[in-house]
Amino acid sequence: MTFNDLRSKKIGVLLGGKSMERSTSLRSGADVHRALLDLGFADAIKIDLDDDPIEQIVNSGIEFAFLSLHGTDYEDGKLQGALEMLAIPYTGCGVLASAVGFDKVSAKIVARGLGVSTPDWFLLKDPGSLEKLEFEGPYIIKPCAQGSSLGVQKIETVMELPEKIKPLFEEFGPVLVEKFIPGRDLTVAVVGNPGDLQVLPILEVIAPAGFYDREGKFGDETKYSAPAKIDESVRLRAEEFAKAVYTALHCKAVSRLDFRLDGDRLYFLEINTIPGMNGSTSNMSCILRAANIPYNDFVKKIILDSIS
Amino acid sequence: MIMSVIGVLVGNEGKEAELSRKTAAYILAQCQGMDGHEFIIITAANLIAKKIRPDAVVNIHYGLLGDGGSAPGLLDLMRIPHTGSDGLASSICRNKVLTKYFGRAAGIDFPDHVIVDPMVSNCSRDQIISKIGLPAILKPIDSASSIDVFLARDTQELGSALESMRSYSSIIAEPFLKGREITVGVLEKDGETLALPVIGLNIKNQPYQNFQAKYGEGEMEFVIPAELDDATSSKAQAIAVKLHKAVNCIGYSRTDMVVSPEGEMNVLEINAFPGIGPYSEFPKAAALLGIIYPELISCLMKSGKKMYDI
Repeated sequence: MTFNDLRSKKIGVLLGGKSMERSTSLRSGADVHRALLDLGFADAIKIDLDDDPIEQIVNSGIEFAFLSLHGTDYEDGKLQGALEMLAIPYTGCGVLASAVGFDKVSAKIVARGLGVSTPDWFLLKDPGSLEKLEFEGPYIIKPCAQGSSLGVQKIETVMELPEKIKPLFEEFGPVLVEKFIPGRDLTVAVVGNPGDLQVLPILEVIAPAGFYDREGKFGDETKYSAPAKIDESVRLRAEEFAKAVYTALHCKAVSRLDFRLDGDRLYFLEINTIPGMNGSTSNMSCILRAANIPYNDFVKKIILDSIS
Repeated sequence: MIMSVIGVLVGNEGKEAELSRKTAAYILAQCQGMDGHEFIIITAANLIAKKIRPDAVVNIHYGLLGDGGSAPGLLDLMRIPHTGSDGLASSICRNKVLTKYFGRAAGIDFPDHVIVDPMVSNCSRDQIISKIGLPAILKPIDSASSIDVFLARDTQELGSALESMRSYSSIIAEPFLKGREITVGVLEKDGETLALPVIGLNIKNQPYQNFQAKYGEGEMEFVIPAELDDATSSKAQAIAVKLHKAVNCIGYSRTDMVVSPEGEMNVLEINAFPGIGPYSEFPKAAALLGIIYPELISCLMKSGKKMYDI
């Protein structure tokens, strides 16, 4: 299938859904849909997924899916697997990259396997197992499988952990306790497919809390700087690390990887296999502006790389 | 008592569909009526078209093509409880390099490897010789069966192996390990993760387990339990259980290993969907522990995600 063939087909922007990241997804999806119309996809429709996404997708008659979804069920390989079974091609990463990328501990295991540093961690599968925690604070706690910095908190001492973890555990399940790394937040977008990878300008996120929590991510106080003002050697290493993780996970078309920079030490935090794509305030949109890539061109590239 | 309908999900096409249909027929023959369940054979197309909505699924759609993990994804999204691993474990097991990373993180030793791009074969050849040495074994990073596994004993064989593998985007080269091939089944039963008796493989006329030996007639012989001393068996079983947990497998798995003459273990790969057909080794190994076939299927159903209330 070529890009021109696809333009005459019915193509669905899958968005919304039941995840906790619904609002982020709706904004991304609306912008992607507008771009598709601009690009000449006359028959591009938006599909807001409900409780029976399979029936919705089948009944819609779409021949290609643009995934503008985030969170459980949509970004964790389940929807990707289902689309494989439906034989409907879709944008971005497949089952492997999505499933491993969405599970923060799995992504860290892969990074460490590749020799890419990642903060020490402890996975709490039940809230009572904290005595096995072997490293000292401060800590970052977050749900093991959620995006958009949902539930992320900084905890100073081990004494405070149990009471902070409890509500998080009740709401989201297994909790990742990570060693807090002081320093700066960098996010690195990789685009393309093996053999033709490109790293876009690195974005620094300067959050008032000193780390990137949910308020920092979506609040007004946060500042962005792209390309990030970092040493050439750090930039090269960040690019190398990002490409290594992207390649090992068999990512496709695009992913965004978050790192923490402490002095000149770089730590992999997580990978977003469906980065938020709203055209004005998303990390991705800042990166595209720094790279001088028009939004519509980027949407086109994602489709091209997904069907190649 | 209301019968619950258990769909046995079979593969769509080719060799896989044939194998899974045989297994499905066997499950029906052995388990029909068990615990008040009615077992029926279903395909993904039937599920998608909503011709049938089973209460739960025994998933034997292995998905030899693609990443693995597609059928569990569909079932999870349709909120149908199912046996076996989900997309995460299925796709990790399908990828030989990621399997190593997860295994190593859990303290299991794996042989060194080199990832090469067969399109740049000169550079790959030098890399393999300097990092791995010869003889080396070359295989695609993510292929389910032993299709296109090559043994390179000298530089000439290495060159022709790389040439033959040009269609793969990435391949993995490892030192060729001499020793006895064994495979160890793991089964979750009553909340515990059990290792089954070790299965030994005697491969005739082939220096290693390749596709020919795996699916050819009479070229591979299984010995259950394998002729190993107790300490070696226990060691192999412990590794299989550890790896099953490390890659997040659900219900069952089977780990292939090579035991060196010195008794060292080297893991080759883990299979998230071991064969459970009439001629498969996994059920025979389970039977040695007194777990007869219907009980085996019952274990899979009980360990499957959200299947406990069926």
